[in-house]
Amino acid sequence: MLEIAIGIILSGCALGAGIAMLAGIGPGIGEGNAVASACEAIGRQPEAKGEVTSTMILGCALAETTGLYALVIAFLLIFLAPGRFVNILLEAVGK
Amino acid sequence: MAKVDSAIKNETKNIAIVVLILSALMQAVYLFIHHWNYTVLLGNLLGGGAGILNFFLMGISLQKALDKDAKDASATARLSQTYRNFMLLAILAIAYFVPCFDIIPTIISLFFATIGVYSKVFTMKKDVNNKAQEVAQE
Repeated sequence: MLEIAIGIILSGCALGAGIAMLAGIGPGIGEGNAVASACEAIGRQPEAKGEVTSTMILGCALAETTGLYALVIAFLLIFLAPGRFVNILLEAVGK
Repeated sequence: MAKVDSAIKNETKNIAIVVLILSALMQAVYLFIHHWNYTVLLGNLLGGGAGILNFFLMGISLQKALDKDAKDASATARLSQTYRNFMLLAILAIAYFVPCFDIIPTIISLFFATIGVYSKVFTMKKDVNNKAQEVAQE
């Protein structure tokens, strides 16, 4: 029974990490769209290249924040959470 | 190697300054709560450095992407983001497995660059608003 409980904890953590990393898809698409739009903007107004680049970089960095959060959550779920949860379980059953 | 755009250099410099200030603040907090040791400092250096490097590499890849047409630029940006995510994952794994790094300060200081970007965006918004008001008054 204990083995099954530990298995459920480990699979839950792995599934959670996988689901968290789905959030990494959005920033990739968003960055791609932002860069494509910036290319068009620079094509229309080449003299505004500096301003467009600066704004685009900050925008992309903002978009990437979500991906960074997802990465850290996935990392915590894979490396830190299973050990803690298993310890809590073992303490609860008195082993 | 292509020359790095001055906008990227400036933004990276601003982000690095914010990371430095916040890192000093975090070290002070760790000292204050008597949890400071060399692993905290090394973790902070690793995480802060990774955040700045991530931003700089993003800038370089976007600069390269801007020289291509819109479709290729989009693909380049996406590929760059994937590689940088792998880099950050590797850095977090190093911080977790190598005992001379504390994982918690590493993770916290990874977000300092993001805080720097947010602060820059808010100040930029204020500048734009001020400029718009000046134009409206004229």
